[in-house]
Amino acid sequence: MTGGGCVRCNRRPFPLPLNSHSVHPVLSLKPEGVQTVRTIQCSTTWFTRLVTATGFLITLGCLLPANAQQRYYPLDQTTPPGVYGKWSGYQVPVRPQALQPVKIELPGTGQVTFFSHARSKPLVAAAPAQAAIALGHSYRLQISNIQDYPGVELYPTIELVDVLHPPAGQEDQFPIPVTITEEEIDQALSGRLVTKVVYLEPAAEANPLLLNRKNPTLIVSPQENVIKEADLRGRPMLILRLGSRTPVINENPAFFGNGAPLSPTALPPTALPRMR
Amino acid sequence: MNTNTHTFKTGLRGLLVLVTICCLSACSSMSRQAATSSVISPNQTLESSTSCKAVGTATVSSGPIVLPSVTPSFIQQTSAWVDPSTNQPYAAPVSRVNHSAISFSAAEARADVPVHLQGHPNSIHPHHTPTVGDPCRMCQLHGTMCDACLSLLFPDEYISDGGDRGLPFHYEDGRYAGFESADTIVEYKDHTGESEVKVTNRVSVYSPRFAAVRTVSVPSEGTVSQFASGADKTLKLHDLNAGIGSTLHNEYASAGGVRMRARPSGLEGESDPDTVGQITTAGRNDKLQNIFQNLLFLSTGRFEQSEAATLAEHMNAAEQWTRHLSPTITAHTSSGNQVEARFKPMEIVGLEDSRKTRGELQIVKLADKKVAVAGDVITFTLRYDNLGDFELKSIRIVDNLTPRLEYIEGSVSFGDREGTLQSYDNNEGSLILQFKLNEDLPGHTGGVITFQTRVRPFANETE
Repeated sequence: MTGGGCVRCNRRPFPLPLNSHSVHPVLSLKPEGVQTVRTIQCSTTWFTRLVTATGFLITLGCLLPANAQQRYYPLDQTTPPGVYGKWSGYQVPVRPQALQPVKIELPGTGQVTFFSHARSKPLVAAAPAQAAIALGHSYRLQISNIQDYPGVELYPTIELVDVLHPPAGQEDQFPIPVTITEEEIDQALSGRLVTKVVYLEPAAEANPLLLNRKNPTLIVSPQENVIKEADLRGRPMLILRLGSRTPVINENPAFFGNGAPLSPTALPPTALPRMR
Repeated sequence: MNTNTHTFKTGLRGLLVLVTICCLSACSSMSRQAATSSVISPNQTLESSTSCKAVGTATVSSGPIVLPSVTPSFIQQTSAWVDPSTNQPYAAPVSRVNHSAISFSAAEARADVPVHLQGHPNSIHPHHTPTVGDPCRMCQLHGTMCDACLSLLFPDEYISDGGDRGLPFHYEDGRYAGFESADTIVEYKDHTGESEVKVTNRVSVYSPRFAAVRTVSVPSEGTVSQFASGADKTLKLHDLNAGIGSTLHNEYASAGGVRMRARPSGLEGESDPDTVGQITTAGRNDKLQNIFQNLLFLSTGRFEQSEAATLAEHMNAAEQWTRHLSPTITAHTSSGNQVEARFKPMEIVGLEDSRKTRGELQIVKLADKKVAVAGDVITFTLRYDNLGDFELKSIRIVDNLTPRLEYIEGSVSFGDREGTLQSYDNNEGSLILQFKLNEDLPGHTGGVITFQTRVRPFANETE
């Protein structure tokens, strides 16, 4: 009964009895000797395997849609600044070389400085300040003269990861808003790092209870992937990183940026809405 | 014997696996079906006088209209619903739902369309679905993508109203189904009493809305410095405890988040609705004059070639053009060609043949703005025309407003005809508007319904 051999594992004779060959993990069974009996057994074994394989494939098909929804997010808040934007820049742009306006809003009055490279030729504007930045770069900002925060200077970074596509000529009317709250400033001054992902909210996905809130913010724990949470709710547009690090006197010029394009834009008329 | 027994057992085991899988699949289908039926809630009925005649032998009696009570995110999944009896996506099982009054192939050349407008969404020609890197013909001429292309590629940047998104509109036991927010339909009866349903075109206005997700963490270097002073070879293991210290700091960060939640709630009471009223008045006067004074199509329902650009601008407003949602095509070809073509036989043959064709309703939805921000007023115009000879009865236009728009009370106008407006809560933060004409619509006549909505303002900006 065990005179044959396995063509895959080359075990001769078979390590298992003949009636157990069906569970042997080798598909090709051509033992020598008792050809007739084993041929019959192999045919029935193949039928059994076919049924089992069909069931397995059906099970896999049932499970695939659920698994397909579990996307893999290689990026999170610990990803170094600039990586996400660079990855986004690899996609085919609809608006090539177009600069995206962003608007920095502070609690009350203040001053916003946009850096492109070193400390040379920064853009300085009163808050809310607006400037056009490029996709795929990380820009250093300086916020100072903040109302109720005398002498405080913070150097956050903003990273553009996607752009808007407004009608031609309306680009400056629809900047990406970056709102820095008092709480975020307090947390930065206490040594913490605030990471905020601004995303575009589809109208069909909007929470009806928050429709009258300007830039509603969801707070997640540091253990959560903030980029994933934003991506699940819309299209991530921009990442703000606000910490307490300040440049030293002989700071590395790379701290202020790598010379990415930076352009001043005019605030839209709706920058300070007063519906009176 | 032993072999046969083993084969029987293994075969039985395989069949058991297969039966188990089938049971699991059936349970999954039942859960989906249960989710579908959960849309229909008996607590959300509204009166309806419609009696729809089904295609074929099925007949649907009058019944309450049930509105979907699902969340927007759930609605997005309705496109995957299937009919368990046929295992096919839900179609329109009852009544005739005509998604496009007249359909054209996307590539056919039309003699009445200028060559430079053929294939462009701003023309009367249906627009193909663009892809990145493959812009439409007109866009290539201009070297950039047109607004309609962008609205197709990036619909999340627009407020859309009209059309039939998600699950296709149909009736289930005489009730509305697949009537998600932003859907707009029109129901009517022809002279024989047969009911018909059509879907309007979709109008998109550029108005992106933003939100944010935030987290607060402690830089790792701060944690390491707490243990650096005592570090030596024997204490290296304690450096690993820095991770625990970081976790403790994260808990403090969560506490900070709780404070943040309290802050926006305090802003709710700062809204001042009085300041919104003046903006409403100014916006309404300007836009109504522009629409009705300049467009012959809105006043007569007949399309003039000279109005192509203006009409396209209002209708386009970065509109989503597909082969099935192309009302401008309908307006141009149906109204223009059919009216012109039938006018000549009437002169030759005589007036006794004038009432041969059954009533056919054409409806076009327009917006007066291409872009809008929070607080802006958007005026929607519904132009309806009876393209047939016989009259149409019981015309009712139902618009399920998208949650980002709020209806301005008292802004509806039925033009020269009489009508009534009823509104119902759609359980998604907005309203379902039901415009009902009180009189029949004779053949080759039409009318205009206008109403105004406001992009929901922010509570902290109306102070």
